[in-house]
Amino acid sequence: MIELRSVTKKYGDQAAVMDLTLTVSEGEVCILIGPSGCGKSTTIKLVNRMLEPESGEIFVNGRNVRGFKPEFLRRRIGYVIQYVGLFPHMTVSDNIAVVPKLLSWEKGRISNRVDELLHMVGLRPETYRHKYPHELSGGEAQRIGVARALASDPPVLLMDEPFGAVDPLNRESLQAEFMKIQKELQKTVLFVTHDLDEAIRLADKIALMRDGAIVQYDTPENILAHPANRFVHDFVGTDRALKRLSRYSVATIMRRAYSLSMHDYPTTVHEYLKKQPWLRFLWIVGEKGELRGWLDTRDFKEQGAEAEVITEVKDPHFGLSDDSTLRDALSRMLAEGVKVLPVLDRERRVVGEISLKDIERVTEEVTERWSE
Amino acid sequence: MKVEKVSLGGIGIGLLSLGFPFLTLKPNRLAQGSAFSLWNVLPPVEIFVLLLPWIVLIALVLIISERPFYPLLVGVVANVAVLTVFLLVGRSAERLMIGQEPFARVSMSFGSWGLVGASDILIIDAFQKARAYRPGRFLIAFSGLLAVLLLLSTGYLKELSILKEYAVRKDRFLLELGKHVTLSGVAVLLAVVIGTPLGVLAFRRRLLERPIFFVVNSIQTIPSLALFGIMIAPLSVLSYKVPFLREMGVKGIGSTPALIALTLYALLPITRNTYTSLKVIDPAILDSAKGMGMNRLELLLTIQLPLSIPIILSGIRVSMVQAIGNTTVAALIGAGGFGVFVFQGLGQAAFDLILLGTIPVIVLAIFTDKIMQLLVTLLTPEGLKKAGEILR
Repeated sequence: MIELRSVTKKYGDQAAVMDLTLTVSEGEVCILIGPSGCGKSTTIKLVNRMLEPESGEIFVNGRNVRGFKPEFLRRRIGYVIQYVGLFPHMTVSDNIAVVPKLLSWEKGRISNRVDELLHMVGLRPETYRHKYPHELSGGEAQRIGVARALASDPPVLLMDEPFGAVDPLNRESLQAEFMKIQKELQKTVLFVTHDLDEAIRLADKIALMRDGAIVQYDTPENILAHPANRFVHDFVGTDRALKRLSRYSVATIMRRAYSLSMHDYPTTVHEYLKKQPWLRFLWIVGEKGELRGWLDTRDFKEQGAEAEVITEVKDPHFGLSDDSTLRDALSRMLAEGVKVLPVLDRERRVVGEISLKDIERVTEEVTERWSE
Repeated sequence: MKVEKVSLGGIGIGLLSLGFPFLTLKPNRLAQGSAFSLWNVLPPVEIFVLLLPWIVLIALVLIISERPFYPLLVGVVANVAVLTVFLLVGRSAERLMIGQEPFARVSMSFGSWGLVGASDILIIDAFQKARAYRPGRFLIAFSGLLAVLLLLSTGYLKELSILKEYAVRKDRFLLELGKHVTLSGVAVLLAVVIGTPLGVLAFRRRLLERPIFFVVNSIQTIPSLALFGIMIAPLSVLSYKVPFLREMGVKGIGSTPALIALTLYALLPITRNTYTSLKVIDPAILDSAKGMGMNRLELLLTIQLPLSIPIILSGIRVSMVQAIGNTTVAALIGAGGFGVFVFQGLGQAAFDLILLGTIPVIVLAIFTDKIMQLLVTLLTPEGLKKAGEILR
């Protein structure tokens, strides 16, 4: 874990970081965000002693960082920067192997570790091991940068706008990769970005900074729902209710869905309605349980079983995947013009359903204290 | 059809040279000579041999200038052209000397030099265009030169005036060759020893950058003769006052002032290139290296040095070529070198003696340049071979 206690860093008379206190719990991703000059990059550089504070103490895993030689400290902290800084005269595997070599690991161990890391960041070792940085795309280079930072398996990771120099499509992919790796490795991460959506997506906690101090330090949901002051409110933007939705997965909000196969129609419908008369939608599934269509019980009650009350689903992409967020759900509902959507697994089997009302319930938590 | 301007230019100059005098015959080394065009002095067979490479070159330009191996072919044919000129010059010189007094002199004239020069243009152009064939393309650069040197060693060209001058002073020639190479070589060596740390210092301490380069630049602006001359007085005094130095051979004139001056001149390319090579490294590289836990020494050895070597070596290359040229003037203060022949020739108004001093210097310079270029290519780390990769 990382702890900063009353840390101040000055440049002449200007304070870049003023009396800052911050604790990042173990295994947590804490994202520093704020306007330019708020001190977020400075804070990160204080942790690995690239900069020295005027006052205050910094602890990593309980030990004061001043107790180590800077080089020794840095070999045990992963450091990823925006422009990657891969060494152009070394191959990819030599680049990744830098810190292990500095720590005098033996050759076989290093080689295995390099392959392991390349796998972890989604690059085939056979293909990438012998490439040189100038042969890599921006996204590939940054993946190698992350691999390089993780090489010595440090407990702590410092990331300074790591995905900032990459195009949006690649950034999306790198973020997903990062979340996957973090889920597996559970590193303590201090991450700087200026992209609010990135912060919301990746953070366990967000520290919003301004003029060298933390204005609000909380989970993304809470910051979006209950901004502490006018500055935070304006910073997160007027669409914060929507932004907040991306923090929830449909899997946590969805309700039980009722499905039946065509063979059981219409007898099963009557049975369902007898036990749960409030049921609105029934999902028609095929032999393997995959979505085929749906039935609005209102139409069924009005027109009877003989009428054409079943709507066939022809679009193979209809419905929500089980790893979608509420934001995706709302977006799809608007696009399809419906208020209820089924949630499907990878084989397109119905695992739940979600309605607009469910989404509204989540957004209700967002308080309005300052008029737009 | 892509227009190969340089090739056409070179061929044009070559063809133009055919109209100029090929050889000159003088009754003695000081008198005016009479000009002979190649049409007078070469039998038809030999004229054909002379023209053949040029005809092939024209064909190459017209037919295959688009193909990737075009530069290679041009390079090879141009080297052949150089060789044929010297071959035929040798034979014709012999022919012209028949029946002449022993102190008559035959020298190459505007036309033959023009043909050689035009071929060299084509060779250099071909060498540069054959980038895809490194390091094989260095063969194009050297083969003609080596062939001519071989020719010289067999005595084929001994009837030429220059070689008569050489024949008279063979031992002296070798002596001055040794002195010339030694002077330039040691000067560059000293410049590397002094200049490389100086460049690193200028990079590390921003305050020192201006003064260091001010001094090094200013030295370059001093005319070489003046710098050599300035050395004389203080060194003489020093030598007079300190017997130990006099024992060591330090005098006001001779190799000591020459070496000092040459070293000073050699400083700029090396210092500047060392400085630039460090400055040009992407700061993100240094940032991440430092953040990963490298100390100053590890940073220098594993990152900065390998990345800066290509540029530093290029600086040494420039410095060496420059030094070889500058050393010619050293003869004026008694340090020896090929300049001895140049100044003797000037004093005696013997043109071919002047050439005996100048041509070796040119050949030495070109040879050194190409060898250094090869060295740079071989020593550039793999990942940097793509142009501009170390630059931001």
